[in-house]
Amino acid sequence: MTAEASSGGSAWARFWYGPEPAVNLAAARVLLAAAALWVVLSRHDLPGILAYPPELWAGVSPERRVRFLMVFGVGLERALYALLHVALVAAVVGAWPRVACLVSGLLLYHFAPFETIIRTPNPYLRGLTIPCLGLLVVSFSRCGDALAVWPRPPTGPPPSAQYRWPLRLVQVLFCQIYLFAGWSKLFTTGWSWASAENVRGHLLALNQALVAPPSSSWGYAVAAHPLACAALAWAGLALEFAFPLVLFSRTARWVLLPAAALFHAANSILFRIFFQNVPLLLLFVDWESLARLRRKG
Amino acid sequence: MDLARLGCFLVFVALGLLAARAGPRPDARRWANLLIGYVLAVTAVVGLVQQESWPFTTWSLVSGTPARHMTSLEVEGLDATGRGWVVDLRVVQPLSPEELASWLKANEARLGPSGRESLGRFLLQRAEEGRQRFLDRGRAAPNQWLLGPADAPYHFHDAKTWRSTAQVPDSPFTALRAYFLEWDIDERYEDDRRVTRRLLFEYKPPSGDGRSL
Repeated sequence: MTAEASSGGSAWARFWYGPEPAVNLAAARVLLAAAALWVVLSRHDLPGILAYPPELWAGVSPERRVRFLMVFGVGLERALYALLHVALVAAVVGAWPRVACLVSGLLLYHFAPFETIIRTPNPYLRGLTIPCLGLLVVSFSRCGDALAVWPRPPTGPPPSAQYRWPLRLVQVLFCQIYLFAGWSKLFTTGWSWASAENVRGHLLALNQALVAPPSSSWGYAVAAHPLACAALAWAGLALEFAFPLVLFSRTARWVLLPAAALFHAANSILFRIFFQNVPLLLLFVDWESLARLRRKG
Repeated sequence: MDLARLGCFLVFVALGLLAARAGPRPDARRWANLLIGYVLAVTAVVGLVQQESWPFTTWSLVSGTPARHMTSLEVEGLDATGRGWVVDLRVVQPLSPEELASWLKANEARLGPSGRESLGRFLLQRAEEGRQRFLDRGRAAPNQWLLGPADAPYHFHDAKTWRSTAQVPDSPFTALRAYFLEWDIDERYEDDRRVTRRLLFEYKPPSGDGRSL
């Protein structure tokens, strides 16, 4: 093996298989399940959409129904939805956590598209995409070796690669939200996306559609200033492309995680766009180190 | 293509289960690498070419140029006197108002008389249930059944909601009208009144229908 290949292989091994405390993976499990539970509890009787007027379902092809297993009656679907709630609670508290995460992830795959299926099979930005993938990933690993009630986790398991790769994979999936959001702007529109005129147009369109009266909105106030619109555009793009640095740098985490929280707050206020997975920024916190600091203090 | 996308997801689950089964075995890392490599490859393709394969998705949001001409849905419930009251569209939850509006915009031309009647009956029922819920419990939105205002909003959050009992009648809705509001964003920026209200359909239950809402 050449030195370069060895170095590359080592970098891969260091990134994916370095020693990771069990509590960090378990915390990710809790965060993912809690985030999903919040959204699921906020979508009352999602299976009830099956009973909405048949005209709404006319455009949903049989293949699409099979893709998401939307083939059962409302009664059974409601039972499965109840099971999803139970599985998510079990995943949060750590009761048979791996089974709970697997069941939750599979049921989220089934139920998340209900929100949008009459229009699109792609229910992203509804708060359940990362929890669906993340819960499945952690279920493939020893996510119950800490913060679990049954089976009782081993006492003080040593840091291990077994806890690192699933946590990293979930973190990578989360970083892709920002990376591909930025990429999609350039892919669809090119660099002109970052023009003041473009951002102004989005501010006007969204606030006119979602606020009454729109003139009272912060979005309108910003839209009146081209320099502010341009600054918003470039700052947003910069954050989206820089965010994956949190995977590699502790300094980047200190800067970019708060910046991301601010970014989402600004989106909510200015563009009326709410990101339900903001709490998942906590996936990047080293809980073991925090606990150690607290014990020392 | 839907079945191919299902296959993509099933391969992910299968690789994950194989990695889980490998557990503490010496070849466990190989299975983990396979899963990691698969996820990275699929998400990279989906993200770069911007073609969804949910849950592997494009993460595209406001990535285009904004439409200059906008459309939004407004539903009006009519009381027994014929007075119109704007309905808080959260009454259609768990379907988001945005999805309903988008669907109507795409299917307006295909919606025949029976479709308009079916939708009208549904919307009138939901509007009336929402009105009663708002007067009884102070909330129009079904999604707030447990968490109240702490519920997870939809990603486009609409501020045009019922906030006061003055916005709803004391007596039941007896009919319903659905409108598209249409405007040019620059014209409306200059003058907020420059909005056209176009009637989509009107629904009034047949008298002596016998069916209750």
